[in-house]
Amino acid sequence: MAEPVPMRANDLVDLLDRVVDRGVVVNGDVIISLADIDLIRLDLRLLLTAVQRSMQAGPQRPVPGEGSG
Amino acid sequence: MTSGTHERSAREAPSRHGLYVYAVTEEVDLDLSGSRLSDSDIPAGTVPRLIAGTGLALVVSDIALDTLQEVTAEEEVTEGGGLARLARRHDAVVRVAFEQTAVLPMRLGTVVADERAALDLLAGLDETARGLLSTVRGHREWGVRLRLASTTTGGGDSRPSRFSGATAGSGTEYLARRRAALTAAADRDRTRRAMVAATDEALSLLSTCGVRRAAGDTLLDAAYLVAMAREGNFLAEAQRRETKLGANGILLEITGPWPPYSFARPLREVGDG
Repeated sequence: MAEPVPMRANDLVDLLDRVVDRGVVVNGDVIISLADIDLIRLDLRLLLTAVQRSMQAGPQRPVPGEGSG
Repeated sequence: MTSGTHERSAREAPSRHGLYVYAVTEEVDLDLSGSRLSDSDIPAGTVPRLIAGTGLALVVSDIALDTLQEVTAEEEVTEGGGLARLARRHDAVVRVAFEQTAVLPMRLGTVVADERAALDLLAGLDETARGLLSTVRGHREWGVRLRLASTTTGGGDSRPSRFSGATAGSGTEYLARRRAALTAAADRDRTRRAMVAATDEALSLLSTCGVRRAAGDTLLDAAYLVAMAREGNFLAEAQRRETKLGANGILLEITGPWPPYSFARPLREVGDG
Protein backbone atom coordinates (compact mmCIF):
# COMPACT_ATOMS: atom_id res chain seq x y z
CA MET A 1 0.00 0.00 0.00
CA ALA A 2 2.96 2.25 0.62
CA GLU A 3 3.66 2.84 -3.04
CA PRO A 4 5.91 5.86 -3.39
CA VAL A 5 4.34 8.97 -4.83
CA PRO A 6 5.88 9.68 -8.22
CA MET A 7 8.26 12.57 -8.04
CA ARG A 8 6.87 15.56 -9.83
CA ALA A 9 9.61 17.91 -8.81
CA ASN A 10 8.86 20.35 -11.59
CA ASP A 11 5.48 21.08 -10.08
CA LEU A 12 7.04 21.42 -6.66
CA VAL A 13 9.81 23.66 -7.95
CA ASP A 14 7.28 25.86 -9.74
CA LEU A 15 5.23 26.09 -6.58
CA LEU A 16 8.20 26.86 -4.33
CA ASP A 17 9.44 29.36 -6.86
CA ARG A 18 6.15 31.19 -6.42
CA VAL A 19 5.58 31.00 -2.68
CA VAL A 20 9.07 31.24 -1.22
CA ASP A 21 10.52 34.35 -2.69
CA ARG A 22 7.46 36.35 -3.65
CA GLY A 23 4.41 37.63 -1.87
CA VAL A 24 3.86 40.30 0.71
CA VAL A 25 6.82 40.72 3.03
CA VAL A 26 6.18 42.13 6.46
CA ASN A 27 8.94 43.36 8.66
CA GLY A 28 8.76 44.47 12.21
CA ASP A 29 7.84 43.37 15.65
CA VAL A 30 4.51 41.79 14.74
CA ILE A 31 6.34 38.92 13.11
CA ILE A 32 7.36 36.16 15.44
CA SER A 33 11.09 36.41 15.53
CA LEU A 34 12.18 32.87 15.89
CA ALA A 35 15.60 32.81 14.35
CA ASP A 36 14.53 29.77 12.36
CA ILE A 37 11.70 31.61 10.70
CA ASP A 38 14.02 34.32 9.50
CA LEU A 39 16.41 31.69 8.29
CA ILE A 40 13.71 29.86 6.37
CA ARG A 41 13.99 32.39 3.57
CA LEU A 42 17.72 32.01 3.14
CA ASP A 43 17.58 28.24 3.43
CA LEU A 44 14.77 27.91 0.94
CA ARG A 45 16.63 29.92 -1.61
CA LEU A 46 19.55 27.51 -1.44
CA LEU A 47 17.31 24.47 -1.46
CA LEU A 48 15.41 25.76 -4.43
CA THR A 49 18.61 26.20 -6.38
CA ALA A 50 19.60 22.65 -5.52
CA VAL A 51 16.26 21.25 -6.62
CA GLN A 52 16.38 23.16 -9.87
CA ARG A 53 19.85 21.85 -10.57
CA SER A 54 18.75 18.30 -9.96
CA MET A 55 15.76 18.85 -12.24
CA GLN A 56 17.94 19.89 -15.12
CA ALA A 57 19.46 16.45 -15.07
CA GLY A 58 16.02 14.85 -15.15
CA PRO A 59 13.49 14.59 -17.97
CA GLN A 60 11.92 17.77 -19.22
CA ARG A 61 8.23 18.16 -18.74
CA PRO A 62 6.31 18.59 -21.98
CA VAL A 63 4.22 21.66 -22.59
CA PRO A 64 1.87 21.99 -19.63
CA GLY A 65 -1.79 21.23 -20.13
CA GLU A 66 -3.04 24.50 -18.72
CA GLY A 67 -1.71 26.30 -21.74
CA SER A 68 -4.52 25.05 -23.92
CA GLY A 69 -7.33 26.05 -21.58
CA MET B 1 17.83 39.55 11.77
CA THR B 2 17.54 41.82 14.79
CA SER B 3 19.49 41.86 17.99
CA GLY B 4 16.26 41.36 19.92
CA THR B 5 15.59 38.00 18.39
CA HIS B 6 16.44 35.83 21.34
CA GLU B 7 14.73 38.02 23.87
CA ARG B 8 11.49 38.09 21.91
CA SER B 9 11.36 34.46 21.00
CA ALA B 10 11.98 33.55 24.61
CA ARG B 11 9.10 35.75 25.69
CA GLU B 12 6.74 34.28 23.11
CA ALA B 13 7.83 30.71 23.49
CA PRO B 14 5.15 29.64 26.01
CA SER B 15 2.30 29.79 23.46
CA ARG B 16 3.99 27.44 20.97
CA HIS B 17 1.25 28.45 18.57
CA GLY B 18 1.06 31.32 16.18
CA LEU B 19 -1.15 32.60 13.43
CA TYR B 20 -0.01 31.67 9.99
CA VAL B 21 -0.87 34.46 7.54
CA TYR B 22 -1.74 33.34 4.00
CA ALA B 23 -2.91 36.48 2.30
CA VAL B 24 -4.17 40.01 2.55
CA THR B 25 -7.62 40.57 1.17
CA GLU B 26 -10.55 42.88 1.61
CA GLU B 27 -13.04 42.78 4.41
CA VAL B 28 -15.60 40.67 2.57
CA ASP B 29 -17.46 37.45 3.27
CA LEU B 30 -15.34 34.52 2.21
CA ASP B 31 -16.11 30.85 2.41
CA LEU B 32 -12.96 29.43 3.95
CA SER B 33 -14.62 26.35 5.34
CA GLY B 34 -12.93 23.01 5.14
CA SER B 35 -15.34 21.76 2.51
CA ARG B 36 -13.37 23.53 -0.17
CA LEU B 37 -10.04 22.17 1.00
CA SER B 38 -8.98 18.56 1.22
CA ASP B 39 -8.20 17.14 4.63
CA SER B 40 -4.56 16.76 3.78
CA ASP B 41 -4.34 20.49 3.18
CA ILE B 42 -5.72 21.52 6.51
CA PRO B 43 -4.91 19.67 9.72
CA ALA B 44 -7.79 19.29 12.17
CA GLY B 45 -8.68 22.39 14.11
CA THR B 46 -6.82 24.77 11.88
CA VAL B 47 -9.49 25.86 9.43
CA PRO B 48 -8.54 29.20 7.91
CA ARG B 49 -10.44 32.28 9.01
CA LEU B 50 -10.45 36.01 8.42
CA ILE B 51 -9.17 38.67 10.76
CA ALA B 52 -10.54 41.99 9.60
CA GLY B 53 -9.78 45.59 10.35
CA THR B 54 -9.73 48.95 8.53
CA GLY B 55 -11.46 47.47 5.49
CA LEU B 56 -8.72 44.93 4.86
CA ALA B 57 -8.48 41.40 6.18
CA LEU B 58 -5.93 38.66 6.69
CA VAL B 59 -6.54 35.01 5.89
CA VAL B 60 -5.00 33.16 8.82
CA SER B 61 -5.01 29.85 10.60
CA ASP B 62 -3.50 28.56 13.82
CA ILE B 63 -0.19 26.86 13.41
CA ALA B 64 2.04 24.98 15.82
CA LEU B 65 5.42 26.67 15.71
CA ASP B 66 7.01 23.23 15.75
CA THR B 67 5.69 22.80 12.22
CA LEU B 68 7.87 25.64 11.04
CA GLN B 69 10.87 24.39 12.92
CA GLU B 70 10.48 21.02 11.29
CA VAL B 71 10.48 22.68 7.92
CA THR B 72 13.62 24.67 8.57
CA ALA B 73 15.36 21.58 9.91
CA GLU B 74 14.85 19.67 6.68
CA GLU B 75 18.03 18.82 4.88
CA GLU B 76 16.47 18.43 1.46
CA VAL B 77 13.29 19.16 -0.40
CA THR B 78 11.12 16.13 -1.07
CA GLU B 79 7.60 15.66 -2.40
CA GLY B 80 6.27 14.51 0.94
CA GLY B 81 8.46 16.70 3.12
CA GLY B 82 7.40 19.45 5.49
CA LEU B 83 8.35 22.22 3.12
CA ALA B 84 6.32 20.72 0.27
CA ARG B 85 3.32 20.25 2.57
CA LEU B 86 3.55 23.78 3.92
CA ALA B 87 3.89 25.19 0.41
CA ARG B 88 0.90 23.17 -0.88
CA ARG B 89 -1.23 24.20 2.05
CA HIS B 90 -0.21 27.82 1.62
CA ASP B 91 -1.13 27.67 -2.05
CA ALA B 92 -4.39 25.80 -1.42
CA VAL B 93 -5.64 28.33 1.11
CA VAL B 94 -4.52 31.30 -0.96
CA ARG B 95 -6.39 29.83 -3.93
CA VAL B 96 -9.62 29.35 -2.00
CA ALA B 97 -9.64 33.06 -1.20
CA PHE B 98 -8.32 33.97 -4.65
CA GLU B 99 -11.24 32.20 -6.33
CA GLN B 100 -13.63 34.47 -4.47
CA THR B 101 -11.96 37.85 -4.33
CA ALA B 102 -8.75 39.81 -4.90
CA VAL B 103 -5.87 38.66 -2.71
CA LEU B 104 -2.25 39.56 -2.06
CA PRO B 105 -0.50 36.33 -1.08
CA MET B 106 1.98 36.55 1.76
CA ARG B 107 5.42 35.09 1.44
CA LEU B 108 5.61 31.50 2.67
CA GLY B 109 6.22 31.19 6.38
CA THR B 110 4.76 34.47 7.59
CA VAL B 111 3.62 33.96 11.17
CA VAL B 112 2.41 36.41 13.79
CA ALA B 113 1.99 35.77 17.49
CA ASP B 114 -1.72 36.35 17.94
CA GLU B 115 -4.79 38.28 16.78
CA ARG B 116 -3.50 41.53 18.18
CA ALA B 117 -0.30 41.16 16.21
CA ALA B 118 -2.40 40.37 13.14
CA LEU B 119 -4.38 43.58 13.64
CA ASP B 120 -1.11 45.50 14.01
CA LEU B 121 0.03 43.98 10.74
CA LEU B 122 -3.22 45.06 9.07
CA ALA B 123 -2.90 48.58 10.43
CA GLY B 124 0.54 48.82 8.88
CA LEU B 125 -0.63 47.85 5.40
CA ASP B 126 -3.25 50.34 4.22
CA GLU B 127 -2.90 52.35 1.02
CA THR B 128 -0.23 50.40 -0.79
CA ALA B 129 -2.08 47.17 -0.18
CA ARG B 130 -5.37 48.70 -1.31
CA GLY B 131 -3.76 49.91 -4.50
CA LEU B 132 -2.23 46.52 -5.22
CA LEU B 133 -5.51 44.76 -4.47
CA SER B 134 -7.31 46.92 -7.00
CA THR B 135 -4.56 46.20 -9.55
CA VAL B 136 -4.77 42.43 -9.21
CA ARG B 137 -8.56 42.24 -9.12
CA GLY B 138 -9.88 40.16 -12.00
CA HIS B 139 -6.36 39.07 -12.92
CA ARG B 140 -4.37 35.88 -12.73
CA GLU B 141 -0.63 35.39 -12.92
CA TRP B 142 1.12 33.35 -15.61
CA GLY B 143 4.76 32.38 -15.51
CA VAL B 144 6.82 32.16 -18.68
CA ARG B 145 10.34 30.78 -18.92
CA LEU B 146 12.46 30.63 -22.02
CA ARG B 147 15.50 28.41 -22.13
CA LEU B 148 17.72 26.78 -24.70
CA ALA B 149 16.11 23.51 -25.72
CA SER B 150 19.41 21.72 -25.36
CA THR B 151 22.97 22.77 -24.72
CA THR B 152 24.25 20.40 -27.38
CA THR B 153 22.49 22.04 -30.33
CA GLY B 154 24.12 25.43 -29.99
CA GLY B 155 27.78 24.59 -30.42
CA GLY B 156 28.21 24.90 -34.16
CA ASP B 157 31.79 25.99 -33.87
CA SER B 158 32.84 22.99 -31.82
CA ARG B 159 31.54 20.41 -34.27
CA PRO B 160 34.32 18.36 -35.79
CA SER B 161 34.64 19.42 -39.38
CA ARG B 162 34.24 16.80 -42.09
CA PHE B 163 36.94 18.62 -43.97
CA SER B 164 39.47 18.81 -41.20
CA GLY B 165 41.76 16.38 -43.00
CA ALA B 166 41.74 18.35 -46.22
CA THR B 167 42.31 21.70 -44.53
CA ALA B 168 44.83 20.62 -41.97
CA GLY B 169 47.63 22.09 -44.03
CA SER B 170 46.03 25.46 -44.57
CA GLY B 171 46.11 27.82 -41.60
CA THR B 172 44.41 30.54 -43.58
CA GLU B 173 41.49 28.32 -44.50
CA TYR B 174 41.19 27.10 -40.96
CA LEU B 175 41.08 30.64 -39.63
CA ALA B 176 38.49 31.63 -42.22
CA ARG B 177 36.35 28.67 -41.31
CA ARG B 178 36.73 29.40 -37.63
CA ARG B 179 35.82 33.04 -38.14
CA ALA B 180 32.74 32.06 -40.13
CA ALA B 181 31.67 29.69 -37.38
CA LEU B 182 32.06 32.39 -34.73
CA THR B 183 30.13 34.86 -36.84
CA ALA B 184 27.35 32.31 -37.32
CA ALA B 185 27.23 31.69 -33.57
CA ALA B 186 27.08 35.42 -32.88
CA ASP B 187 24.29 35.80 -35.42
CA ARG B 188 22.38 32.98 -33.81
CA ASP B 189 22.78 34.56 -30.37
CA ARG B 190 21.59 37.89 -31.71
CA THR B 191 18.56 36.28 -33.31
CA ARG B 192 17.71 34.46 -30.11
CA ARG B 193 18.07 37.58 -27.99
CA ALA B 194 15.79 39.46 -30.37
CA MET B 195 13.21 36.67 -30.26
CA VAL B 196 13.30 36.60 -26.46
CA ALA B 197 12.83 40.37 -26.30
CA ALA B 198 10.02 40.22 -28.86
CA THR B 199 8.25 37.46 -26.93
CA ASP B 200 8.48 39.42 -23.70
CA GLU B 201 7.19 42.53 -25.43
CA ALA B 202 4.27 40.73 -27.09
CA LEU B 203 3.20 39.07 -23.83
CA SER B 204 3.63 42.34 -21.92
CA LEU B 205 1.27 44.04 -24.34
CA LEU B 206 -1.41 41.48 -23.47
CA SER B 207 -0.88 41.78 -19.72
CA THR B 208 -1.43 44.51 -17.18
CA CYS B 209 2.09 44.28 -15.83
CA GLY B 210 5.06 41.98 -15.92
CA VAL B 211 8.04 41.12 -13.77
CA ARG B 212 11.36 39.80 -15.03
CA ARG B 213 13.71 38.07 -12.69
CA ALA B 214 17.43 37.52 -12.99
CA ALA B 215 17.59 35.01 -15.78
CA GLY B 216 20.12 32.57 -14.33
CA ASP B 217 20.30 29.62 -16.71
CA THR B 218 17.18 30.78 -18.52
CA LEU B 219 16.87 33.31 -21.32
CA LEU B 220 13.79 34.81 -19.70
CA ASP B 221 12.08 34.19 -16.37
CA ALA B 222 9.00 36.37 -16.33
CA ALA B 223 5.64 36.60 -14.62
CA TYR B 224 2.71 38.40 -16.21
CA LEU B 225 -0.41 39.68 -14.55
CA VAL B 226 -3.15 38.99 -17.06
CA ALA B 227 -6.74 40.18 -16.93
CA MET B 228 -8.96 37.12 -17.06
CA ALA B 229 -10.79 38.56 -20.04
CA ARG B 230 -7.51 38.63 -21.98
CA GLU B 231 -6.20 35.22 -21.02
CA GLY B 232 -7.35 33.63 -24.27
CA ASN B 233 -5.33 36.15 -26.27
CA PHE B 234 -2.35 35.86 -23.96
CA LEU B 235 -2.21 32.08 -24.18
CA ALA B 236 -2.78 32.06 -27.92
CA GLU B 237 0.11 34.49 -28.35
CA ALA B 238 2.31 32.33 -26.14
CA GLN B 239 1.43 29.33 -28.26
CA ARG B 240 2.25 31.17 -31.48
CA ARG B 241 5.60 32.27 -30.05
CA GLU B 242 6.34 28.79 -28.81
CA THR B 243 6.37 27.45 -32.35
CA LYS B 244 8.69 30.16 -33.66
CA LEU B 245 10.99 29.90 -30.66
CA GLY B 246 11.11 26.14 -30.94
CA ALA B 247 12.35 26.42 -34.52
CA ASN B 248 15.27 28.43 -33.10
CA GLY B 249 16.14 26.01 -30.35
CA ILE B 250 14.34 27.87 -27.57
CA LEU B 251 11.91 26.11 -25.27
CA LEU B 252 8.93 28.07 -23.90
CA GLU B 253 7.54 26.88 -20.56
CA ILE B 254 4.36 28.37 -19.22
CA THR B 255 2.92 27.85 -15.74
CA GLY B 256 -0.34 29.00 -14.28
CA PRO B 257 -2.83 30.28 -13.63
CA TRP B 258 -1.44 31.46 -10.30
CA PRO B 259 -2.73 33.80 -7.65
CA PRO B 260 -0.77 37.05 -8.02
CA TYR B 261 2.27 35.87 -6.06
CA SER B 262 4.64 38.05 -8.06
CA PHE B 263 2.49 41.15 -7.82
CA ALA B 264 1.82 41.30 -4.11
CA ARG B 265 4.32 44.04 -3.42
CA PRO B 266 5.13 47.26 -5.21
CA LEU B 267 6.88 46.39 -8.46
CA ARG B 268 10.07 48.28 -7.74
CA GLU B 269 10.66 45.93 -4.83
CA VAL B 270 9.94 42.81 -6.81
CA GLY B 271 11.73 42.52 -10.08
CA ASP B 272 15.14 43.16 -11.47
CA GLY B 273 13.96 45.12 -14.46
